[in-house]
Amino acid sequence: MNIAVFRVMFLGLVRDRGALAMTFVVPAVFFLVFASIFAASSGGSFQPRVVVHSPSPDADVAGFVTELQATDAIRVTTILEGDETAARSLVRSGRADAGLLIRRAEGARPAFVILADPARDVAAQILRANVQRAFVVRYIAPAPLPGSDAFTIGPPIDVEPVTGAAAGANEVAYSAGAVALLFLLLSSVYGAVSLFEERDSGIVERIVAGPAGTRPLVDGKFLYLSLLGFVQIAVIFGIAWLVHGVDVPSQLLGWSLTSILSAAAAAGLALGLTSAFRTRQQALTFANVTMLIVSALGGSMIPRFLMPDFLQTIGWITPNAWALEAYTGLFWRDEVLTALTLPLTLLAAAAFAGLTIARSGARRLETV
Amino acid sequence: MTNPSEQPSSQSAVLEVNAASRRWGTNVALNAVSFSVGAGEIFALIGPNGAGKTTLVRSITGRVPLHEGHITLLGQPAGRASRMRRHLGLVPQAIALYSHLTARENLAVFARLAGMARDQIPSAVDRALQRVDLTTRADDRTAHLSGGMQRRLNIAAGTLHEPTLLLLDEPTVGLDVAAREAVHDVLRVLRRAGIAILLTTHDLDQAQELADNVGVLSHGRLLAVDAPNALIQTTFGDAQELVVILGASPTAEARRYLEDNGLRGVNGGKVWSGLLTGGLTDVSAVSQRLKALGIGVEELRVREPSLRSVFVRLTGENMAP
Repeated sequence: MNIAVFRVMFLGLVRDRGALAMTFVVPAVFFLVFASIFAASSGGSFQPRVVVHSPSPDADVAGFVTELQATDAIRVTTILEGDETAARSLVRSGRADAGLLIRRAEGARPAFVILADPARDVAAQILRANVQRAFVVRYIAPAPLPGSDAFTIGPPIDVEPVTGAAAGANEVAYSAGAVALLFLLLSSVYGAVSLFEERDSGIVERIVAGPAGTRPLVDGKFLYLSLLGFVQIAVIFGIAWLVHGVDVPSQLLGWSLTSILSAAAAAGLALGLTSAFRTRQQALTFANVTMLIVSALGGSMIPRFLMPDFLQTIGWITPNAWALEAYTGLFWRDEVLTALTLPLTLLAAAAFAGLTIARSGARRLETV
Repeated sequence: MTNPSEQPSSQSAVLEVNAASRRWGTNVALNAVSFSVGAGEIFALIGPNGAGKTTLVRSITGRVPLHEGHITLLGQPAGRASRMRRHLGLVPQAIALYSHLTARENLAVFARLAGMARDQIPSAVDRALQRVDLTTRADDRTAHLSGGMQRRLNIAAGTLHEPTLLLLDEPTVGLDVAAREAVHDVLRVLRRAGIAILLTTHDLDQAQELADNVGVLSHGRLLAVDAPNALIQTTFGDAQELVVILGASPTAEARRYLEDNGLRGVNGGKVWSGLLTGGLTDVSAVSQRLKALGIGVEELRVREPSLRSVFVRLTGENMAP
């Protein structure tokens, strides 16, 4: 008898491609993605991208930079000279995790200013340690001062935050956006699969016999999920404002636009994704796993700058990344609305693409 | 009995199905099916599972394109055109309602999805509730209504926009006698309102009681179309029906005896029926002959023929009452 039941279960698995994929393929993919992300975030392989600036680099500065690059702990991705504005801009925009300004009076040892993005404080800390190491190797170790311990003599290092006036308590804004997007995607999936319930109960059959077809059904769900998502985000940011002092009111317009477009993108993605499946269970399972992976890649679980480069690149296809880019722009960099054009446009495009796919998927229900 | 292929095309017909054919791979779902339904007429389409009823209804709603033939609604090709679908109402077999909404809220939603203007919806909802006798329960959640009430509400949701043609799929399945009668009353009200009703059903008693005309569909073919009593008269005349229920499957010799006397087996099994005429007038002789052939008779019944008798006679199949 036991074998009979075993056989039923086994045949149920091997004859269901969806179940096979869920059992063997999805966990493997899930593991690969999350292992890459969390291995990097644990610190083992995080290499901050650093921009180095010196107004008039000479052989001595070049030697120091060479020493700075002699470690795997950081990656000097850009070396600038002339005006310092470009270096600050790279850090502010997130294209570099931290910056180093090298200032040197004639004949003196250099002094340093670290350009820090408080959202990426760990990058500034790593850079600081490596500047100290390079300084010691370059200047102290070859000619130690009498009676001094080379390792107690550090270089003069100032830290200059490069974020805008809205920085400070707004560190929480990143977490608020990240958490909101994660739950937005998951709750959108639950709303989107209600189409299967309507199909199974005969409601879709009734509606497609009438003049409206399935379009109002999909559009209505999109509208509802978008508004529900907006309210979800509002609740989270409301708490962030009241409890942590995130200055939402000063960025109300930008926040509203970002939030409604993020909610619309999540709704579109959920509806589009679930429309590819035949059963509620398949759709729910695959869409939930997909949303978790999307959220992880998009920075909702750990900041994207901590991830390996290839995952950071892949992350740009997720709505989470663009939404967080927009929120970071508003609350960290104090950017004006026009600076958010790209992320907001991409969120709108994702919403429209998802809605179009969902409409097309639902139209398949109109014919047998 | 009217030969379905010879049924005249009525100028006033709401629905006309002409030589409708559809295949699914090598399986013929509809084979040159023709019939028409007029305003204020209930047309019952009866047939076992797989007969082609669902394919036909879906062809009328435009969800399944025909390979041959055509279907017209008010003289225009039926199909996916929005203006034609406004004339259609569909009541699925399942309770196609939102259980967490009240009766009134459900009707308002489906009125809007049927394309009704917002200002017309409240009066249409009230009218529909009154028609199905649910006015006093209008503000109760659908999940809290009885099965019969849900069925009536299901019908109301398909008639809010006053369709010219209402398609009903098994509207009384799972109901007790009282609830079934209440649904029948609703259908009679709709007929009086001039709505053409195409009813697909397994319930042959329902078809006989309600329908103005009946179509017998089997394996994609429409075997007969006529009024229920006309079908009975044409099939049985003034004769009574003899039903023989055997104790075991008949031997070849017993089968030959039954067939030679005009009896037909139902579902290839132990139940045989035919006209009580000719050599079969002596019922006790039938029993004795079968016993002599080694086949016991469990029951031998003479009855007035019904639509069920016609169905069995035409299709060689039976459907549960």
